[in-house]
Parts: sequence; C-alpha cells; structure tokens
Amino acid sequence: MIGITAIDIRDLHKSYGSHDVLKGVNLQVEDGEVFGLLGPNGAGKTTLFQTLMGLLSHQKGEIKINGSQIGGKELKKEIGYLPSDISFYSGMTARENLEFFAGLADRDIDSEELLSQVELLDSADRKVGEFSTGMKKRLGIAQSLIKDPDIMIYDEPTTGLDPEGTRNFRRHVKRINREQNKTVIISSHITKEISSMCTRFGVLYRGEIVESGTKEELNEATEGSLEVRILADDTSKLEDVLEAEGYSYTEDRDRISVKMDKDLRDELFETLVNEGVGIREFELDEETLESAYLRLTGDK
Amino acid sequence: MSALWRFAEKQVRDSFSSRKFLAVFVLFLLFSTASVYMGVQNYQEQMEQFRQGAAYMPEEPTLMDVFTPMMSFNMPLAAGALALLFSYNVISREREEGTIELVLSYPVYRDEIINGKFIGGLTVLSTALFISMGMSSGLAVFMLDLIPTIEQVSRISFMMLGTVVYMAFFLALGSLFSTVFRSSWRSLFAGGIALLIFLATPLGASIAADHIYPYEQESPGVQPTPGPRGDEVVVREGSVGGGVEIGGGSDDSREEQRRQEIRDKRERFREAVSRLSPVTSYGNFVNTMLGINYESETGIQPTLRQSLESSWGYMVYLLSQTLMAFTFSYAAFMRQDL
Repeated sequence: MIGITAIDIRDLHKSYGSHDVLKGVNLQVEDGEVFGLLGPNGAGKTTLFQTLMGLLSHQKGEIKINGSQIGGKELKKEIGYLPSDISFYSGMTARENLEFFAGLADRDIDSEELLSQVELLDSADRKVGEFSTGMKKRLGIAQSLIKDPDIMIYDEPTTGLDPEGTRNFRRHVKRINREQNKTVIISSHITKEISSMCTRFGVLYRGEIVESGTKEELNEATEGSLEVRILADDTSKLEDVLEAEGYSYTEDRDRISVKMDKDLRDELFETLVNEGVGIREFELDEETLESAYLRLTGDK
Repeated sequence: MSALWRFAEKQVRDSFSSRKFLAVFVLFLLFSTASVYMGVQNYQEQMEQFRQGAAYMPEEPTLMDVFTPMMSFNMPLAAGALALLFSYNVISREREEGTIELVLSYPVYRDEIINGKFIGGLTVLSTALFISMGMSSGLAVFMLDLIPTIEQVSRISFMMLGTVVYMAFFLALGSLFSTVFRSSWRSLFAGGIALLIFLATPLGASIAADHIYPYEQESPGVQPTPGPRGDEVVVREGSVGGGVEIGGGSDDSREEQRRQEIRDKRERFREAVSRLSPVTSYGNFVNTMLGINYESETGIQPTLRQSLESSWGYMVYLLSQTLMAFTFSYAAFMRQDL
C-alpha cells in the first residue's frame, strides 16, 4: 500500500445556507502516515471529518479513499472514527456498547482485549452513563478499532483526557501506526498535543487548508526561524564549534538552543559529528510548529 | 444479524428495561381493565333490559358489547398516546445524546436505523396491547362466566390487529416529528397536538358539514345557499304557508328528493373530512367488527364474514394512512445530514 494516497480530497465545498464552512479544501494524506490537522475552533475541522465520513453531504468536490471514490457502507468500513464529542448509549455498559457497535460493523470482537488496550477492563461492566469524559474518550478510542480499518480519524482526541490519558493516546497512535501501518489523521487546535505524534501537518483556517507539510516545511513557508535544541557530552566544546561556524545560540540549562533562518540541521549535525562533539540529543524545538501555526492563522 | 434487526432488538431491550415503559404499560393495563369493567357493567344492564323485554333491546347482548366502551371510545386516545410516547424521541434522542454521529460512522444504511426502531417500537406496543387485552378479556370472561365463541375470539383478534395498525400510524407520526424536530420536547408537543386534532376531526367535520349544509335548508320556504363548490341547491319559495316550488315542481316527492340531496351532500362532506383522520378509519373498522354499524342499520348482529366484508375498506384506508406517515418519516430522515 506504500505510495498510495490514503485520503485525497480535492476542492471540497460545504456550506450551511449562505455560510460557507469548507471553501475548496485540498488535502492529501499518504498511506501509513500520521497526519495532524491543525486549526482554531470553528475552522471547519469537524465538518471536514464529518464530510469525509459521509455523515454530511457536500456541495462540490471529490473525496477518494485509497485511490477510489467510494461512499456509503464501503467508505465507512474503511475508516475508524472518533468524533470530538463522543457519546455512547449511557444505559448500556462499556462492553455492551462495544458489542453493539461491533454488531453494526458485522465484526466479531474481543471486547476485553479492546478495553484492556485503553485500560478500561475494570470498568467493562459499568454503565457508560457513569463514565467521566476521559473514560468515554478512551472507550471511543477502543471503538475506533472495532472495524480494524486502514484509516483512523481522531477528531480532537486529547480533549478531556488527563496527562496520562494523553500520553497513552500518543503511545496508542504510535503503536497502530508502526505495528499495524494504519494511516492516522488527528485534529487539534493545540499544536503541542499532536506535534510529537504526527509526521505531517495541515493547517485549516477559515475553511481552507492554508498550508501543509512537515514542521520544517510549515516553518519555512511562513518564513519563521528554526530552533534546534542540542544536548552534548561536552557543552563547552559544542559552544566552541557553534561560535567557529557562526551560529547564534542561547543556553538553556544543560541544553543549547541554536536559531537558524533556514533548515540547516543536516549541515550542523554533520559539522558537529566531524568536530567530534558527542551528541546526546538533537531535536527541533516544539515551539517551531506552534509559531508557524500562529503565523498562518494570524492569531499571533 | 443485519443492522436493522440490531436496532429493532435494541429498541425492544431498551423499552422493556425502562421505567417509562413499565409506568406506561401499567397505566395501559389499568385503563383497559377499567374499560372492560365498565363494559361488563353495561352488558349486565343491557342483559337485564333484554330480559325485561325492552323494545330497544331486541337482541340479546353478547360478549362483544363488553368491549364497546374500550374499543370505540377509549382506545383511539389511549393507543395513539401510547404509540406517540414510544416514538417521540426515537431519532431526536440519538441527536440530543450525540450517539447518532457514532452510529452513522458505522457501515449502516440510514433506513436500517429508522426501520429497525419502527419494528422494535411496534413489537413493544403490540406486546403491551396483547398482554393488556388478554388480561382484560380474561377478566370479562371471569366476571360474566361466559365462554367466548370462536367467532368472538376472532373478532377480538381482528380488532387487536386493527389496533396494531392504528398504533403503527402514530408510531410513524412520532418518528416523523422526532426526525423533523431537533428537540424531543417539541416532538412530543407536536405529537400531542396532532393526536388531539385527529381525535377532534370527526366532530370538526360534523360541525363544518352542518355549517356548509345547514339543516335550515331542509325546511320548506328557504332560499338557496351556495355549496362549497358553488353547487347550489335550487329552491324556489312558494307562497307563505303554502306549497314549495322546487326546480319548477311542487310535489312532495321532489321536496323529499331535495332534502335527501342536502343530507347526502352533508354526509359526503362530513365523511370526506373525517376520513382524513386515522381515528375515523380505526373507529369505523372497530365499530364494524363489533357489529355496531351493521346492527344499527339492520337491527341484527352481522356474521364475522359480513363484518370482515364491511370493514376491509377501513383497514386498507388505515394501512395507507400508516404507510403515508411512515414514508414521510423515512423520507425526512433519509434527506437529513447527521
């Protein structure tokens, strides 16, 4: 499946009366990647997902899943979906809910296995009406796996999750992506929550994808500076090399932050290795994505 | 098992395990028992009058007379209300609780949801009806110490079948309101108003018919009044206290013919308007199965075959009304986003 575009959206328009929510969205998500859809509240992220899932009709545009235009049941079999406001039948237990939805998907499931994946096995026979928002979210993640689809869509998945829940969700995404090669799309309006999970990002703003690409590509497109954080065995040696090569840097406790106007990370890394600097960590600052996002959405 | 049957099964399971169902079922049971109790008392009074040789009681009352108060007067309201209570939130509740988005993200057709809920709802209502009718029939048999004949059992069974179709109409109507209105309360309110309108339609039709074709027109010496489509009744006034000239004639048979025409038009108008309401179709069906219509015309109890021959038209009409309500409900749901 590598090389196939898992989701291909072209010129998608959706409006409610005279209010245009999606104004010609173009988005391509490659098979096996984890794609982050960023956008402020009201940008149209949920509408885009609901349209993609066939829950909403659209006025214009084309949606292809794994290369073909499909709809109805076939489309829904291909995609696992976690709505932003996940709701289950409150009078049924977690297990009963999973079994009911498995029935709709015509699947035999091991509900205990699914519940244990989201650490809800102890609450399997509790009514969902008694669940907290975070527990419902976790149950939602479990239900998204029922269909065992190739593509997963998570709409604001970390909203309502506590830090441990968010960390577990990140692990879950990494696992299903690496071990099962699932294509994952995650939406959020908080860049920090998804920046470490996703390989590429798209920024949806006022119904349009204003930019898409990797963190670095977004940064470059918005003419922002990059910041690389380095942890070396010998900090003073690192500083000497940076000064000799003309990089501007700042110290941040035991790490060194290097600012660069364009992406020179490969060159810098090579120089440091050639100069014999022992590198323990070499990573792009998380702030880079947020800065790019803010520049794109004009919220800064 | 297809999604349709899963929704039907869930609807049945949810209903039987809900307090709302239990409360409504108990009320329904009390209502049918009380109605049958009233029917038994009526029966005993009628039997007494029959034994005394009352002129207006030429035929011995039967077990069917016990069911007259319930089926003719009380059931149209109770069964309609019960069906609406079970359907006013079938779709709107899914929206209010947010489950519809998750459900529709699964490989199910939208019609499987609404059809499944309809089948499930009708199963629950039919069960409630059969249990309560069975218990109240048993009470009647016990109180009167009468063994029902096969024909009487058949009549009761046909009436129950008619009641199921009648409830299906209101179930479909409730589903329609539940689909159209986003709020369950609005849906319930609309359903209540609709039920009242349908119950009042026969009376309203009579009032309107009397207004359009007033009884005064039947009296001699009255000027013509235009009908609703301008089809005026031709009446020419004769001398005061003298004869009446109708269509140029003056004999009694023409006068009688004129009166009959007015009566016929009034009746046709009343029937046409009344038939818009399923309450009329159901009432006609039940009264025919009880033998009331036939008996009032001929003075004798019809056979089951005669009752069935006279009532199948009402049943077909009721079925078509139910189908129409369900089609509207189905179309509304299918055309909606989320």
